[in-house]
Formats: sequence, C-alpha cells, structure tokens
Amino acid sequence: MEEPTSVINVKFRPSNGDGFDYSFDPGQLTVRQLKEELVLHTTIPADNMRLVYSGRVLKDEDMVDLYGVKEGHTIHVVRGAANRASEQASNVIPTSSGQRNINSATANSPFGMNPFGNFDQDLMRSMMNSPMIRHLLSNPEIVRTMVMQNPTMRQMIERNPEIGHIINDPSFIRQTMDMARNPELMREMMRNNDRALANLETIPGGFNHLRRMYHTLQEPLESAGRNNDQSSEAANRRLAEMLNVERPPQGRINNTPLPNPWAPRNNNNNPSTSSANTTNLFGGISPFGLMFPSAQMTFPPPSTTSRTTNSTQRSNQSSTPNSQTNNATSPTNAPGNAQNFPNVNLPQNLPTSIDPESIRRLQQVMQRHMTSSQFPSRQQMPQSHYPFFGLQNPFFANMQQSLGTPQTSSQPSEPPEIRFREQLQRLEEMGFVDQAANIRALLAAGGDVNTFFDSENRAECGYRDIISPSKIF
Amino acid sequence: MQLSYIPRNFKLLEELEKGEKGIGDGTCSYGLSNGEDIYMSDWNGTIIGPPGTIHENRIYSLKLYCDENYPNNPPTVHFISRINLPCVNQHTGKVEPSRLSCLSQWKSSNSLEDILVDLRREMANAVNKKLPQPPEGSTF
Repeated sequence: MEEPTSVINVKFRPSNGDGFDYSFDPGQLTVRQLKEELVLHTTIPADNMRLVYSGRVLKDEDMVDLYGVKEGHTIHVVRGAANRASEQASNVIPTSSGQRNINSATANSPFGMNPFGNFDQDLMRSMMNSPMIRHLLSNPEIVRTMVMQNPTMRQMIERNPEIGHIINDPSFIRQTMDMARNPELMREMMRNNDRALANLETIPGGFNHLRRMYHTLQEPLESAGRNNDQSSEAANRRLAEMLNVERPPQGRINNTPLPNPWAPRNNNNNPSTSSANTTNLFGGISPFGLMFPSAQMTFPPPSTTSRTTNSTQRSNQSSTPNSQTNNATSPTNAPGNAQNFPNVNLPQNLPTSIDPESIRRLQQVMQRHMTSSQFPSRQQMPQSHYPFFGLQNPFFANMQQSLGTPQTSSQPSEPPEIRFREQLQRLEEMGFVDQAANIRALLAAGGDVNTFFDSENRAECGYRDIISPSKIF
Repeated sequence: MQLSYIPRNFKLLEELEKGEKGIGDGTCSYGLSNGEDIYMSDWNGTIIGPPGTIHENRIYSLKLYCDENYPNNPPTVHFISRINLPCVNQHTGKVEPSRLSCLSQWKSSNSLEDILVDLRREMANAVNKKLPQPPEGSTF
C-alpha cells in the first residue's frame, strides 16, 4: 500500500473545534502512540480519544498504516468514554501492595525486557492506570527511589555504573512506565527492539557492539537476579556424576537429552559389581524422591545445614524462608554457564513421597553414614558432596531415630574393632596391617570391604597406592 | 445493468474520496472495508452518537453492502455495534428499509453518507434519544 517509512500529512477533525494538520509516519506509530502525540493539539486525553477513519474506529494496538491512511485524508477525532482499562483502574484501590508490586516488577527488569515477569498483564495495566499510581510514577525521582530501595538493584547499580546512568535518566523511566501501562505498546517496543538487534548483527562491527551490550547490560542484570547460587564447574561436575551424565567428547555436539533428576535410578548399588558406584549413595532411590514427614517440607540449602543435630522443627523453620527467597528468584535463574554439563540447579523444592521401600533403603544409607560420622575427615569424602543426604541433615538423623528399626549388620554402639573384627582380619591377611587406618576406612565404607577399596577411601586412610582393588576380590 | 455499471463505480469512487477526505459534517465516517476491493461493495460506516442523547460519547459501527444495482437500489445496512432503535432488527442488527425514510424513499442521488446521517437523526429524535441502550462495545 503505502511506503512504510514515509511521513504523511493528515487532517484531524475533532467533532467540536477546529481541525488541524499533523504529519506522522503511519508505519512507525501505533494508534495509541498517535493519540499520545495528538494530545498536544486537542483537549481530549489519550484515554478518551477515539480516532475514526473511513468508517472504522482505530484500535489502540494497531499500527496506523493498517488502516490505509493516506496523504491528505481526514481522521475524525472524537471524545469517547474512558478506556475500559482506566475504568477498571479507578476501582482499584492503590495500596502499598500495589507499589510493592511495581517495585518488584521494575526491579525484575528495569529495561522493559520483561517488566511484567509472571505478572497478570491486565492487573498490571489497571494498576498502572489508577490515578494515584500514575501520579506517583510520573515523578521519575520517586521511581528511581523505589528502584534503589531494592537491595539487589542497588547492588547491581553500584557494580555497573552504566546501568546506574540509565536509572538516572528520567525519560527512560517515563518510557518504561508507559510501557508497563500499555502491554500493546510494550509488545511493540519489544518487537522493534528485537528487530533492531537482529539488524545490528548484519552491520560490520555490529556483533562486537552486541557483545558489548550483552556484557554491560544483560549479564549484570541476569546475574543480579540469580541470587548468588551460581553454578560452579565443580558443582556441575558433581551433579553430572550423580545423574550419570558423561561429558561429551570435545568438538562434538551434545545431543544427549538432559537427564531427569527426578527419575528413579535403576543402577544397582551393589558393591561387589561396581565399587565406583558407591559414590552414588542413593542406590535405587531417586535422589529427590525421598520421603519426608510433611509434603511441604523443603530441604535446607547446603549453606544453612549445620552439623549439629537440631530438632527437626527448628531446622525446618529456618530453612523455609530461605527456600522461599530461592523460589522467588528462580524464574530469573538462567541456566548456568558451564558448557558441557547439564545446567540443572539442585532443586530447592523436592517432591516428596512416602514409600516404605525407599525408607528402608535410605535407612541403610544413613546407617553407613552414621557409623563414620565421628571422623571429621568424612567431610571430604565424596558422599558429602550431597549435603542434602549427608549426616549434616538433621532430618535424617531424627528420622532414623524415630524409625528405630533394628540394625542388622552392625550396632554403632559397639566399638568398631569388635564390629569389624571379621573385616579387619581379612584386611590384615591382605597385608593392610595398620589397624587404626583400617578401622577408619571401614567406618567410612560402612563396614564393607569392597567399598573400602573405593579410591577415595583409600586415599583417606593412606593406602593410596593399591592397584586395582576389584582384582583382589 | 450494464448501463448502471459505470455510474455505480463512478459514484462509489466519489463517495470513497469524500469519506476518506472527511468531507461532510464530521459526525459520520465511512470507507471501504477492503481498500483493494475493485467492486467497492463492502463498506464500513461509523456514527458518532449525537450529544445530548443517550448515545453521546458512543461510536456506532455499521456495515453497508452496495450490490451491483447501486445506486438504483439502496444498500443493505447492518449495525455491528448493538443499538436499540425501532428501525434496527434486534436480532441481526439489520436496518429495516421500510422503517428508515432514507431507505424506503431511496433515490439514486442518495449516498451512503445520507443513510448514516439519517440514522443519526433517528437516534437523536425525541422518541428514541432516551431509549435504554445495551452496554457500549457489545455487538450483534
């Protein structure tokens, strides 16, 4: 139809008062934007303004060129009833919670990338349209203060002065607020933005610019939302180990599906067949499909677990707020940046189920741990890589006590020399004469001679140089 | 029919230009619903509710269909926006030709704008201007 970039001169004819001419580019403006530009020429506020052209009422979210407006044509400007959105807005009582919502919405992304997050757009719009909020937000200083009240944002701005400059720019804040008020406008802006970014890449040097933009803006923003539990290479490796994922060969595309951390584990933890598997403490139990007294209970994150056995109640309480904060930020948790390992963060909320079989198995695992708990060196053992299930976790300790099932193979109350008499004898026959070291290793291995030969344990008790333990048995 | 064919297009083109340029009293607007329709059969129209009536601050949308016999025959007119008027069929939104003077006494010199203006006059007349109306935005 019309050249998309050409500016045309159009007559506007209000139902009362004199008409005026206005030039604009119909390919670049939405009807809403046009209305906002026309506000200067009429007494009708944009919310009440209706534009009628060629027998049609122009819709706010449409681009003007959709209606085929051409040079010299006339658009009627009519005062209509207020928008439905603003009618709703006047019913909304602007409360402090409304402000808080805005605060969090802006904090999530002050750059309009996704000012709504998971927010209900209608709710947001009606809120943004309410007179009080509008008044508040029309003052960029207030908005700035609100943004700066968020500690995460403040921290980020302190670290990245470029972002600080943006926050200090009143016109930017105004624009952001306009976008938050009008989802159509925002969608449009995002679309333009995307297109601009896509085009940028084709310009010489554009890619470098893109990269710079990413480093100065996107990255700090995302990392600010990530809540410090960034995945490290080591953590990823442990997780990969736990999920039995292998690093794909260098230079190959990793096309294996991501493992499901909730899937039941099928590899049997039989020490005689694979001693290496002893690092997988969970045996046939899904590591996260564990049972807990309350279905709502969450595992305390590793940092809050303490070695001292608290009562279940207390640690439960202390863990809850923490997991809530993690939940709140989890949508912004971008996948970590390690390249080859599955970027799965350990879930904070683990599904729970009560299954007698898994209780029994877990108990066996626990038992093994309890017997070796007296040695501080245990902390360096591979098992402690899974702090959720280690003995630091008071749930387990409590649970084990409350279950009170008789323990078959060994009573922890007996001194280890007596308990492991048989095994010690066997080890001595094999030439491991250091009895103290043997006991220590056996305790760590839960009394299992095969596990004893697990390389980690060997290192633990000083028998670093033993070759091929599986061949001995 | 062949005789009326060329005048039809000339007349409709003239009306189209009038509609796009907004020549008229500014209370009604009309244009082709599809700008590429060379037969110029389907038209949109809007009527801005006359002030001082229940229709104030409302905009009514209509559809007009000019068949091949236009302008010898009047177009058929439907309201898209729901409206309570005696001349409008409350189920289909169709403007009953027998109940609107402009349509019942159609002359080939009449135009689409005349229909819209007549309908607007109908809205404003003393009998109809206080008629309870369905909520704005509802359609047939």
